Amino acid sequence: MKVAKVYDGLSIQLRICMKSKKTSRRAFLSAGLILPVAGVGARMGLASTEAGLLNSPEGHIEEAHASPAGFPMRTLGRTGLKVTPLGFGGGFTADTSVVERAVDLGINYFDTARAYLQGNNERLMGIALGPKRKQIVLSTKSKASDKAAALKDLETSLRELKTDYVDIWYCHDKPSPDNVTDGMLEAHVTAKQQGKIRFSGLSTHANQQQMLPWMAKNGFFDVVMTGYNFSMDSTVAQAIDIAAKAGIGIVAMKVMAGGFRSLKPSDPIYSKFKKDGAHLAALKWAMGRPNIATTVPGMTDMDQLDENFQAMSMPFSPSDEKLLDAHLELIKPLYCRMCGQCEGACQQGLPVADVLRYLTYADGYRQFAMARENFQQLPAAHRAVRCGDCADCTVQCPHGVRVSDRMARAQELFA
Amino acid sequence: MKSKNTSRRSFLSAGLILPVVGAASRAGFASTGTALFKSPEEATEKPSAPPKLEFRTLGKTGLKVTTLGFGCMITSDPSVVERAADIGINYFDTSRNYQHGNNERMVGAALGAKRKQVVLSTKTDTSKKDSMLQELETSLRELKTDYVDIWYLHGKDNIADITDEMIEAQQIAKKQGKIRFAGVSTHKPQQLLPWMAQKGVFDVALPVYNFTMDAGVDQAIDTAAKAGIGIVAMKVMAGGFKSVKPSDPLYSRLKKDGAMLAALKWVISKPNIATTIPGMTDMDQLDENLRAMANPLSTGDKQILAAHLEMIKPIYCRMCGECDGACKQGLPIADVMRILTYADGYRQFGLGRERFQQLAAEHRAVRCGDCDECTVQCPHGVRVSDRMARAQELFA
Repeated sequence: MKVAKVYDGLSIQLRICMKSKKTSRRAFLSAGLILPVAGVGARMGLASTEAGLLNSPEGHIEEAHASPAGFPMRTLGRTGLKVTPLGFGGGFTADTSVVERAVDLGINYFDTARAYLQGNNERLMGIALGPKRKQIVLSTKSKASDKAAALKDLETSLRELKTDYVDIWYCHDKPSPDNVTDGMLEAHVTAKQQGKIRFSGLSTHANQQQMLPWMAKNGFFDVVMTGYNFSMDSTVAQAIDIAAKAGIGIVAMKVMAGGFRSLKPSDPIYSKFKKDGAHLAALKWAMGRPNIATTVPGMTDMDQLDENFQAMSMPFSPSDEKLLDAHLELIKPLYCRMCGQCEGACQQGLPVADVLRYLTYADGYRQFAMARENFQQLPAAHRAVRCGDCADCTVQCPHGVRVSDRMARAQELFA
Repeated sequence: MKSKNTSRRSFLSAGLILPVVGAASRAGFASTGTALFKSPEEATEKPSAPPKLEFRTLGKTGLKVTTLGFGCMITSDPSVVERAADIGINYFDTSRNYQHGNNERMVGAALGAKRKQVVLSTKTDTSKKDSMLQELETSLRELKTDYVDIWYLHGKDNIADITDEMIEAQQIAKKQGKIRFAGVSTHKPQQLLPWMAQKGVFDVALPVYNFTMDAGVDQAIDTAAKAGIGIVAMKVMAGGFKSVKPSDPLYSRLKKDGAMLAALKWVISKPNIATTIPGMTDMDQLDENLRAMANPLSTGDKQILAAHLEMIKPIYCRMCGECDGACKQGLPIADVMRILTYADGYRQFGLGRERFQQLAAEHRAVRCGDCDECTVQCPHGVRVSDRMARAQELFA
């Protein structure tokens, strides 16, 4: 089955102009706020503390211009769900109002996980979505491998998300068929029967070449969330194609390839050029690939949301391609493409790709604590390794990552 | 990496493509390389003048500190700290318990070799001598330093919360050279600061202080300052509530509505305040706050603050203490208000929820909707029961 780009004529209107007069069950919650917030009156009202004291007179004109006429929706494989090409990766968002604004803009795919933000991200997501939850596609994930634990996770997720179902429930981070237990699959079957999940998914950062064809053959999963970006070779695209042909909906994550920036913050022109275009180009690249229904870049503030939002109305251009070529050159020694070539190569047994991913949380995403917490969850034997102790490193990255340097940096920062 | 120097830590930046000017001996968060993508303007643009720095003496410590300091509690991007240090900000504040114990490590890595050029403070929440000193060891290890300049007893809102044992631990740490000065942080300056002034064993106080507070707080600060205690002000933004809706199309232009900068300038305009520690999470906030050192509080700022105060009145707790004990369910109102501000004002939902979950179980179980009538009346107009209900809905 080919994933079609469906232009279903949905005209997504900004809801900021709507002045809701309704009083809802939850209206008391916004009573702490001075004035009802237009368009979010029925929600928790985190987006504002009042109605915009300092609006300039020309506000209404700009408001009209800011409203998108509508953007293409895509079908998420056999689920038939219609999703916006830009989705929202909630993993490390701490500001509820960014999620709120995204949904107001018309973004309709929101992703979280039981594990994100120390277990607090689902609650944040549920609150920010409020009654709009039913208008969007909501996914969460569980890492649990036995049935009872997975179903318990799901109950917690539903409670935290303030909903009675999730649209997609992912087995979280399963880069090998061996990671997928019968218990997980049984939990998914039960949850589907109970109407608590609509579709089953699996997420993987790596080993797509094996995982995605396996999923296609196995037939159990409706959706895959896969690491995918401009740094990856054609075998990943081929694996995605096999899955998509089997009707599996494709959600691309890690589309920014680490989010590394090319400008020094200490540079005097930083504030003007911090958006160097590489991230937007990376996003456009992923959206422009065949088979990709939606993408889930992490967004922590309005600037990132606004920038990413543009990707839906701009095609990938030759200058984007140049930007990405240059950006790839820049991130080459730092960024792990998760090709899996180095698996088992470290004589100390380090899970090199995992450590590189954690380091990217600090160096690329700028989320130091999240990086360190992930590192601290490695087995003690791996946390104890110091690359400086090896006379000679046995890991050779075919893409030029300076592995032992990067491992040493992770050890210095997090161990 | 083209550098031929091999420093103890040079391997750390070896993962970076080119040496980063000014951060070569540090962990190198500031960049992944030099600017690859130069626009035509970049070649001609002159670097802007360095921000003006203003220094004051921190009481009897004699430390010279920039009037803008850096509160690191909610910063997750080390390069913001790094840049602040590069610019010349020289007061950095953290705590053992921030960000699940990871904030000190972040600050230590970001400051790197510049640590000795700055005044660094951390805090302990523990109350037994041994556990306090043990925590200090952890702090030093995490901060990659062998001393902290100021070690605070964290969040002491009652005089009775400060035991002789705590003071003894601070004295021992001083003798060992592991801390230079002893401090206390408090949300109740009216009670704590006059007591600290008399007690004579503390060098620095870290009180809440902002434009919403009444003259009683000024008097308490004055009493402490006259006794030689250095004053570092926290919560200077009064919650950081923004007046422009993020959904507003003008948001990106108006998000800096001037109220935050005005609030900071207001605090800096008070001569008893040596430095301030607003939380900063990104470069934009840092750039904005830097301006407070170069520009005095103006009439326009005062007008902005008057309007801002009107706006935050029903939601912001001034920590005056009038409602202590007023809730018939025993809720610690001011604490819950502060926790709610982490989500609504600071935009740190996770932090708000975690702090709420640390409340006593019987307080977490209270639902304000169950009371027919609320016994708490805020003299400043905070709609307490609504705010409590909101916190319960968000976090419980």
